[in-house]
Amino acid sequence: MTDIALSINGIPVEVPPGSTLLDAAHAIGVRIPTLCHDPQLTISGACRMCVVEVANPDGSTRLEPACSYPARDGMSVRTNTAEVRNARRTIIELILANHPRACQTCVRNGRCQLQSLCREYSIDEIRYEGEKRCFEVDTSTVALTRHPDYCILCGKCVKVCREVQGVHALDYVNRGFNTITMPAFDRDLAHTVCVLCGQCLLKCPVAAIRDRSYVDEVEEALDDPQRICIVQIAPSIRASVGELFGLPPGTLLTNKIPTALRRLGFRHVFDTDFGADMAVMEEGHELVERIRNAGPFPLITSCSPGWVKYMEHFFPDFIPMMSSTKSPQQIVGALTKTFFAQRMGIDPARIYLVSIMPCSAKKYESQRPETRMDGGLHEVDVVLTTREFGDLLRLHEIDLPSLPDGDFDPILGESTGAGLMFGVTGGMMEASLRTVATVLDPKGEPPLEFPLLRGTSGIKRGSVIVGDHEVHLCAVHGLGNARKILESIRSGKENIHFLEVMACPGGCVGGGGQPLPTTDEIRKRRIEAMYFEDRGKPIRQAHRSPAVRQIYRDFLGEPLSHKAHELLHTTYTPRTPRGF
Amino acid sequence: MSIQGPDTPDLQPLRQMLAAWEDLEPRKLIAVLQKTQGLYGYLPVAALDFIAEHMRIPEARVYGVTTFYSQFRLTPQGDHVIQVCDGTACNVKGSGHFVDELVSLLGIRPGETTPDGKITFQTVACVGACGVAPAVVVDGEVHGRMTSAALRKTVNALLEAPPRSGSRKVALPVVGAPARKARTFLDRCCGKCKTSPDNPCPDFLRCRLEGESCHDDPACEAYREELRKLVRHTSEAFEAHVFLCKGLTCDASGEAGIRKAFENELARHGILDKVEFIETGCMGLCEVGPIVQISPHEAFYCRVRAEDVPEIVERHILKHEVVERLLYDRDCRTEADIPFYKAQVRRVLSNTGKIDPENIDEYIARGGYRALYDAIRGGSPEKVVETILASGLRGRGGGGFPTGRKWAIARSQPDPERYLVCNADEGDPGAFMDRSVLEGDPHRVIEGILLGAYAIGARKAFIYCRAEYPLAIRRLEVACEQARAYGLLGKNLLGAGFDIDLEVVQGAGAFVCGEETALIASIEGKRGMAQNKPPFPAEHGFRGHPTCVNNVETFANVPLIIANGADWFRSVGTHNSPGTKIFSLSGKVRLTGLVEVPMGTTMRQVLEEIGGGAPEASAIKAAQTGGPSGGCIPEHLMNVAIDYDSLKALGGMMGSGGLVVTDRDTCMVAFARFFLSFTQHESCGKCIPCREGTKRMLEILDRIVAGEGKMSDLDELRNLAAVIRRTSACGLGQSAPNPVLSTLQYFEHEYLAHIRDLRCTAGVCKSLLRYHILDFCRGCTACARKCPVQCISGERGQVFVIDQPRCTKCGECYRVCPFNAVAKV
Ligand SMILES: Cc1cc2nc3c(=O)[nH]c(=O)nc-3n(C[C@H](O)[C@H](O)[C@H](O)COP(=O)(O)O)c2cc1C
Ligand code: SF4
Ligand code: SF4
Ligand code: SF4
Ligand code: SF4
Ligand code: SF4
Ligand code: SF4
Ligand code: FES
Ligand code: FES
Repeated sequence: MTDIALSINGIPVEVPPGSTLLDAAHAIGVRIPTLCHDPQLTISGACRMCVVEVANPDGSTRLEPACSYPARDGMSVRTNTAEVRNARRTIIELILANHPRACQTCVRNGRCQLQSLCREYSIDEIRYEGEKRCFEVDTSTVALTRHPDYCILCGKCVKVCREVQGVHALDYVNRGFNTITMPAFDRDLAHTVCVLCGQCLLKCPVAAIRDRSYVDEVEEALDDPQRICIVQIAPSIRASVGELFGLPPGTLLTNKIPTALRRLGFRHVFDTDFGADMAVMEEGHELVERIRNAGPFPLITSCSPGWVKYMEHFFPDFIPMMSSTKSPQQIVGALTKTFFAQRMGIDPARIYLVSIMPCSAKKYESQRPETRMDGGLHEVDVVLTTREFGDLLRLHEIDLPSLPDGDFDPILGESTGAGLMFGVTGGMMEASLRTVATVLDPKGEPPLEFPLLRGTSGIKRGSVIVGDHEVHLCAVHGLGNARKILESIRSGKENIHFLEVMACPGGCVGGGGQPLPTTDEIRKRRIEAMYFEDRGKPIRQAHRSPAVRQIYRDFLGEPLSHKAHELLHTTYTPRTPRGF
Repeated sequence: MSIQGPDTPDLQPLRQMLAAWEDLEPRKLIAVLQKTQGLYGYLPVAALDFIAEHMRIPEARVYGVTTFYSQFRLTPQGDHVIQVCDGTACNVKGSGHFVDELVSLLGIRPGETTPDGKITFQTVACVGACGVAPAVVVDGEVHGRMTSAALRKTVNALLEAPPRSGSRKVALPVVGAPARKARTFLDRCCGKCKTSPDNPCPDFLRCRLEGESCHDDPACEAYREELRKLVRHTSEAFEAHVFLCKGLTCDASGEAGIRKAFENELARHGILDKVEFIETGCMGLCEVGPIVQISPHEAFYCRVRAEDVPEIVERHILKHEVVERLLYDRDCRTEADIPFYKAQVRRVLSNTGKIDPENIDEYIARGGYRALYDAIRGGSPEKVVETILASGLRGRGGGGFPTGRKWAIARSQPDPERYLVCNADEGDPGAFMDRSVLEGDPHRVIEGILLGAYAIGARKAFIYCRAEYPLAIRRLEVACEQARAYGLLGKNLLGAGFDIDLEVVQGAGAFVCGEETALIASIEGKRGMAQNKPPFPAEHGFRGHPTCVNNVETFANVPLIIANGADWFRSVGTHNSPGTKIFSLSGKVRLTGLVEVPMGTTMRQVLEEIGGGAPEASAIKAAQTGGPSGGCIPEHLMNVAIDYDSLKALGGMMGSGGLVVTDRDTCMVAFARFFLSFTQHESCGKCIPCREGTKRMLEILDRIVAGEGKMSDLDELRNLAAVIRRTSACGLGQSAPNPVLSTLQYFEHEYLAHIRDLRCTAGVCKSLLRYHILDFCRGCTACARKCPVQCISGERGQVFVIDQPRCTKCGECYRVCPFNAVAKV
């Protein structure tokens, strides 16, 4: 098909068929404001911020939403007439009439799309005053809080939860002026199928969905001399945290992070990558065992707590297929409060372990009863998201990019490229294969990279030959994609041996705790940085890690040993409400 | 914080119902919720949870759907339900007072239930009885021409009645069993006739109507001829035929007891079996109902009460003389004599009020299904589309889009899975045309739908009918069943290899679901939120397939056009708006009812020649068309021709056919506010200009009618109106400001009077209104006795006074004073 030719603000432009007016405007550098539009989601055309003037054949004009209106041959569009500006300004004013307008005390201050629009359209007075919607704040979950009064009903949370994650924990409720987005029956989010992936928060243009912040608690612990504060930080954050300090996405700050954490007052600085290396060992050996025992297949990864919770609500029949290996964060937690405490001769109860994670579901994971240690201690005491990490640094006057380099602590802070790969979709599987191939074929020269597991396609499939076995692989990210695969496995249409599921699109680089904004483009840049970092690592296979070897030698014995099971494995349980 | 029902219901009945449901797809969610509410009287959360699990639908969606539609309740209702109609016609006739009255009488607000669980009080938007406005529905029964006194009496009776126990269900209007004819067209003349319900003869229609049978036998033809007479009510077997109007309005004004009275009386004379009763749909002249027509003589009796029946039987049926005192007036014996009908051209309504809508034979005998028969047996889908295109038929649902063009677009889609939808949502408060056609002549609509489905190549069609029309829904279902039995609906239609399935879908109380994309979402079992267009439904509709949505009246025109040709259709109406249009005329005219006129008729003709002008001692101020999406035409522009384009040019809108007349007692600001509050309430909530903008406009209007307006408010209204109109996502928002803009255009002085002089010239806006007793009060005590709050005092024979702070401005004193000594100031 040939391109469509139209004119925007008198400038001729050609776009491929299927383009919207918004696409066409972008192509010539015209930036139209949007609130409800998101390229990852279906179009709804709800906010009407993007209206532009379209000429009718008879010379009159009409306003149409650029985000959804298809570009057609010969169209003449104006994006910035007095009427368009007035309409957009009026729409902003209408939002403000029903908004708390509490920027000074709002977590989104400075990173809020509504606020930016107010500035762009020079809103300098409150034009309409009247009744406002009034709903309760929902603080029921450990990870996210909902503040419906701030909601501007763009619908993106509903759509991402339904279309991308297939969870459908939220929907529009009521009608007209009383419309709001909320969980079923006005229930607390904690009592729904929500998996706390935080994707809705990433999409929300305002402060209607927020992190449940633990910055104050961490501050308090850091000030408490009785506590031994230890920190671990997840792989993907080294490629994203720079964005909070104005650096382009994908800027690696791996070496700055340990310095910053020490400056914050942490006594020991561990790396979740180490836990990931351990997870490769355990889960890799689970795969080896299943291959040797011919099942049950597929072995399904368990490092993404959003995915685990989803499975428990929606697909509890897959529990037997799940890898029982804990997630890297919990492995580091368990080893810190056993191995490390014993080695250092400290009472594990004094340890206060903070995880810095790209993920809101990790907050939930750290509170799961299954992760309680003997004696009731939590393996991980508190989880901060990347964003909260940034808040903490700023509060402590730490300008991350300009810090001198530093290193993670030995052993629990040592890692390989394999562990790093957990931060991207397909990475966990790639890391495992690097080890499993060696186990099954000790003499062979297995590849270090598996291109079929790379790239941003939602479902990646293929097979590899390891030893005498052909292993069918599948890596999915985004729970909606997980649903597709699980349903076809359920119906017997799929023959997969090893399935990796990451709840968040792109994997943890796109996690619900990552800096705002997190778009497809930004995810890609973070992923590239992770691959780059992996390639530069001296060791890229978990089983070659001296730290890993030492742990097994000195403490756990061998992978899947009794002790390893006790400390590094967990169980799952069907959860209500059942999800559909 | 989560919603919990007051009790834990027994889920067993629900479980049984769902287990027995055969085609339970997720799109049936709304129907399931309706049935569940039927079981429990409300929707217990536990039941909703169960439904979600059983149907495998996300809970959040179940809740989203439940809270979208106003029919659904999450808490139980009282033993009795009183619904005050807050539609346009009722509002113009003062139903607002009833709300105030009930609030003070029951101590609860609309939507609430009295603490003892006895009475639930709600407001509803138009129950379709506008002809006898104001209407109040008590436990499902419509009471027309309600007065404050009657309402109080009804409520007190309910309050005194002993409490009911057991399940609380709202009774729907009860309809008698379909009149079973002793003989039907389906019966065979002899053994040679092969037709059967399972395998109907394709030549059946011709055989029965024209006698072109597969076999030539005079006895068989005689048999069929007698059958035809029976069906056409010309059979000599009966001495008289009594046509009873069972339209809602007549029923609401007392028709129910009349048939009984006739039967008793006829039985007493021993001639019950000599008289045939035909219960018809709305005869149109609702104002003078209940109407009974009797042939011989085709006498048209008005305002018939049960007490009149013995005289009618005695004189008309036994002695064949007309009872003059019950006629419309001395010069009008038959319907055709009455000016109301004379000035009309009843095409679409030609059967309505004349036939028994529950008997397919009557429709067939009057030429029904012949168009379908000819089109399918002798024509082609293309020919149907061509004829409709040539006829210039424009959609009667409001937009006026050429129907033929829409069908051609759908037909040209590469996707062969296509759908057709009949829009019977008629949400415009103050409109009851579609209802009357559906109730009075359902087969005509069905035939139109079948022709449409054939034309665009759809194998599945839906009729989406609002739940507030239970009788129409039932009639449609009965009609579908009959059509199926006659081989006119279903597989291999008329043996021509065309399959068509027709499903009646019930709305659940959402005006926006009349908008086609919202309607489709609703059929899909979702919240009725409108979608962006393009893509238009004709390209991308139900489940993503090409879908044509057309209005009831549009479809009802189709068989006429196919049978009589495009030129016949164009023989009335204007060039750009050919054909006729039905209006439901209500408000401040002498005669209210159902009116069909050629397009291009002037507004003045409709109001004066047909409607009989303003009621005595008043003057028409304006006519509002298009309901909440439309505008008003002021008296000095009444010569405007009624067609799509002329009305638009005046800031009005054809709309679907609601025509509400206002007079000097109507405050145009309050009138505009009424419409806006309707649309504001009905906004689906998706887009910001409509959801937030109409709210702010309404708040401004609220201030103005409360006497707190500012001059700058008018500019704010105009700006908001312009933005909402231009930027809203669907027709609801785009047209919501129309009533305000058109009243601002023609009645700005009324706005100014409210803002600057703090005066409501019509004496409607309570905050600006004071009742005052004038010096020539005779002290008769009439007002003091009627005042519900007893704030009038005085000595008998002296001038009475109103204690202003306590006065609730109910206006009762103003209405009862025999000397007009109470003034509104
Ligand atoms: C808010 C709203 C309500 C509507 N309600 C109705 C209705 O009740 N009945 C109807 O036929 N059309 C209604 N329409 C128009 C329909 O969207 C659609 O245009 C119509 O059904 C098309 O049929 P027609 O071409 O035969 O008129 C409504 C439109 C809007 C925007
Ligand atoms: S959400 Fe945005 S506009 Fe609203 S208070 Fe917060 S920062 Fe301000
Ligand atoms: S956190 Fe994830 S699952 Fe929960 S509501 Fe948000 S998008 Fe849905
Ligand atoms: S909560 Fe946020 S994302 Fe969801 S509809 Fe409201 S503003 Fe949009
Ligand atoms: S993919 Fe990563 S960020 Fe997302 S839920 Fe899983 S662990 Fe958390
Ligand atoms: S205009 Fe109103 S009814 Fe239509 S989509 Fe927008 S909010 Fe919904
Ligand atoms: S004084 Fe008249 S208007 Fe006022 S409350 Fe009494 S009867 Fe009603
Ligand atoms: S961005 Fe286009 S309507 Fe919201
Ligand atoms: S019945 Fe009340 S407005 Fe129609």
